[in-house]
Amino acid sequence: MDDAFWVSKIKRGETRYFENIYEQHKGKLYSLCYRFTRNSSDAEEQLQEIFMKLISKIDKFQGKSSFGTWLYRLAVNHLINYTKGDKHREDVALEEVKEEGATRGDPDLSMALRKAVQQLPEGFRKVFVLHDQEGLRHEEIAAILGCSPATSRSQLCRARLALRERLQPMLSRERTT
Amino acid sequence: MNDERILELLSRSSDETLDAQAQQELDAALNSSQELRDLAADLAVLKDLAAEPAPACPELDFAPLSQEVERTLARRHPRLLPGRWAAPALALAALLILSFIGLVRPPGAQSEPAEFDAIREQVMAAQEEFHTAIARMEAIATTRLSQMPPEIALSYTRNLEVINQAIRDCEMLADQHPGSGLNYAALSQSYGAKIHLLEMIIEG
Repeated sequence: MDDAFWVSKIKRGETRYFENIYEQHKGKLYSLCYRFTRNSSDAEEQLQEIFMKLISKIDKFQGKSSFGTWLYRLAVNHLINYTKGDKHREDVALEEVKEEGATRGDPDLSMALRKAVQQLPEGFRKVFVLHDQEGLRHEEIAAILGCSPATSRSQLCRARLALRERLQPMLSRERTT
Repeated sequence: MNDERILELLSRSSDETLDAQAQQELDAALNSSQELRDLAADLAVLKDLAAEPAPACPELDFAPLSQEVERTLARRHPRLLPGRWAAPALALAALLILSFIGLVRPPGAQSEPAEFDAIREQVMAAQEEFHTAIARMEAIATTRLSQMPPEIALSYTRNLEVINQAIRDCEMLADQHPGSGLNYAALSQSYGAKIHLLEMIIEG
């Protein structure tokens, strides 16, 4: 059974099926939350908030796009708003990056990249996170963000160039070592 | 050939295979510029770093969400009772289930063949009536599906196909092994699922 089926059940009052939606999407949404929050406890908190928001908005899902696309759009918008708020920690401690043990290569460069991603303009950031970090295709990103795949490609290119510009001194060192 | 196009090709080349002409353009530009080769190397490093996996989702407590679901959704959408069009089909499905129970014999148990045949005849008769009742529901559901947004209609149609296939499989097994009550029980479950789904389609 797919999401639209469970959603229609929930709308009929069979609210116990909300757990099916939760189980189906929590993994991907947690990963997305982690990309925006950069730490596990905030990611958990935001995941919970996204599902709370879903509960209040599920009636608005009309099936014009797939439920997954609709939910991702809701999550991305929520996370963008979250990163604008005071609660969001702008800095990611190096120790935290090291402790997570998920870095590839130089932890300093990894941390610098995280900070640089946080400072990208909103449009660039959404596309960069969804494509380069979450592995979504441009067609999927276009559906989530309500733009064309060509716009998504172009935004991604600009995002990458902006990141490279900010990190160029570290990247030059990396190249020469 | 302008810089912007080359930068776009460079970015795209790390995600997809470029067509021959675009690849040729990019290769020519790369061969003629150290700066561009450095950029390509840097973008590759960034792409690799960016793709580091996020940690797996930990086991989270569903209870707060469950409470919110009950507080918000359950109040907004009180459980609907079956529609009147579903009543005949549900009654027949119940009759089928009861009859099937009569067909299920514990291993080694003896029962009169005549009694067994009588129950099976009853099941077959109920099955025919069930098909007539469900055909009426299907006609209403078809109309409803044509009025729904395509995504929702497609989802319902797919689910109906899955259930119909399950019914066909169970009917075939029941024909092949008429003495097995388990096959009839599975069949009755599939019928129940179909009624439930048709009811949902009809009620929107």
